[in-house]
Amino acid sequence: MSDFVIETKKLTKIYGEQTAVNSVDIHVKPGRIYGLLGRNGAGKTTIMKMILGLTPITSGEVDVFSQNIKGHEKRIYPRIGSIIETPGFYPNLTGTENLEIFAKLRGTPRPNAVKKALEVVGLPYRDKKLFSKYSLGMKQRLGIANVILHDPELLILDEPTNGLDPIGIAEVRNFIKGLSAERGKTILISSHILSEIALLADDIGIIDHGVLLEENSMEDLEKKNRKYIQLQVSDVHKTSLILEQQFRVTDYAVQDEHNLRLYDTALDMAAINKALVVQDVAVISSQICNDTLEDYFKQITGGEGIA
Amino acid sequence: MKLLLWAERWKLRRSKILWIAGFATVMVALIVFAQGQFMFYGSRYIDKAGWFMTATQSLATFYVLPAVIALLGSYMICREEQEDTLKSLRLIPVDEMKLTLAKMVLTLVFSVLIYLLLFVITFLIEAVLHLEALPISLVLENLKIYFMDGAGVFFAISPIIALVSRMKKGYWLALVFAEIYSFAGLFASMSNTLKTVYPMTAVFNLSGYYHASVIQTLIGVIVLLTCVVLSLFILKGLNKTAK
Repeated sequence: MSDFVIETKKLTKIYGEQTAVNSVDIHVKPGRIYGLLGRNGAGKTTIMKMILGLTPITSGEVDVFSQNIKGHEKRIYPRIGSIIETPGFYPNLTGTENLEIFAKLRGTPRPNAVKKALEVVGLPYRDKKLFSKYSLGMKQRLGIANVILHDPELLILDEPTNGLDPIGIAEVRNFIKGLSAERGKTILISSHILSEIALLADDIGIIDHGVLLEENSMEDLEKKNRKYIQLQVSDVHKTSLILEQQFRVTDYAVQDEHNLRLYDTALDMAAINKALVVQDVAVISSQICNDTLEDYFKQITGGEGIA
Repeated sequence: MKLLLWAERWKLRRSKILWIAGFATVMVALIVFAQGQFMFYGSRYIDKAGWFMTATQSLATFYVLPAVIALLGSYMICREEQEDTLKSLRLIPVDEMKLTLAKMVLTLVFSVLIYLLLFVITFLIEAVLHLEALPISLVLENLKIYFMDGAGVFFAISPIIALVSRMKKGYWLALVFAEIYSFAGLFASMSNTLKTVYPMTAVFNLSGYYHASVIQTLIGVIVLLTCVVLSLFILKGLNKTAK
């Protein structure tokens, strides 16, 4: 039994001569929100489609609930709710009518499931407006309502805030957070908007040109990107000794022969500078830095395309 | 299957294609009614009891209704892909073969209903014009023929519905193909051999619209069954390529 709700092993998708997804290993833990971040065309949707079995896998494996989806669709699909690309509905029907079709086909047992799902996303029940007349935001909300209609354990959401206004984005974000925090749902969400993922995800996977560049918990990434004092000195080893012995500093990282980072920004830098100079260590520069997540993502992805 | 049929019926709510079909049926009746105003040996065609019910069938079948029915059938299948609902259905999961079969069954029902609507229109007009001259046996015979025409036309055009759905080039193509296919039936009806083997005219042999021998009727059954098998074969390929 795997510890992950979704686990991919060397997942690869090749279209003709183009590799859309290259040997991706994703690990989505139960009850957590996993944010798949990448610029447009990075391969996020293709990964989600392969996880769901909507597109054939060129090579590699996907396990959902510790099972290969192929051949177990009837058992696994009812446990998943998903939006891939834009939500598709019948344009000649109202939102309620559309959801009633999907609820019945799924055999949703809960009474008033459609009404409750519409209430959650803020759409009116039994409204006469046809889906073809819906705005992009309304369509997206209806897609989310369809996802939660059967109370699935796992949600796979491909850019679910696309087309929503800022208030709508905040509402959906809070709603998704609530699903995970209060109801223990596992959520895999993709976005090209860094701030969205940063505000939502517990774990994050950064994908670029089909390659998963990093997979980490948000907590670890934040640690990596916290405030620090960048110290440039003539002798980093001697500086380390002085910091540890004289100032009892242990929370620091040596970067190279001349640079180190002090993560306690409350240190008395004047005293440190003085001690270093006294012991023949030249202090070339010392400054407070604060690398944001955005800086980090730009650094590892090359910087373009992430909003 | 029952659930899928319910869903398919539900999906057609407010669908313009249903209105187009209804309009086409009424238009067929109106055109034949107008033709019936012509004089023949001192009396109008329309005044002869049973003429209207009989004459409407050939015009409807060779020119209009097969195209309309093919359009509806291929629309029901193609729309899932065009409106991007197929992926949502796959994730339920819905068996795509059963889904397609449900759509075909509904098209068959629709085909029969549209022919029955045409029967009702023609019968009502005949009844208004000369109720006393209409024998009940003639009315029942025509009811049977219309019913069989509806079912038979669906079987005859089912390969077109399947083919257009597989081509994925737009369901309007079904209208064009079915129009050519049904119109060709007019020429096939001029030869006794062709009339027996051409699917559109085989429908008339089977329904009793043409006076057909037992052999011709049996060949008609075989021809229409071949059409059904052919369409199932094409649809099976469609579901494989979709996966």
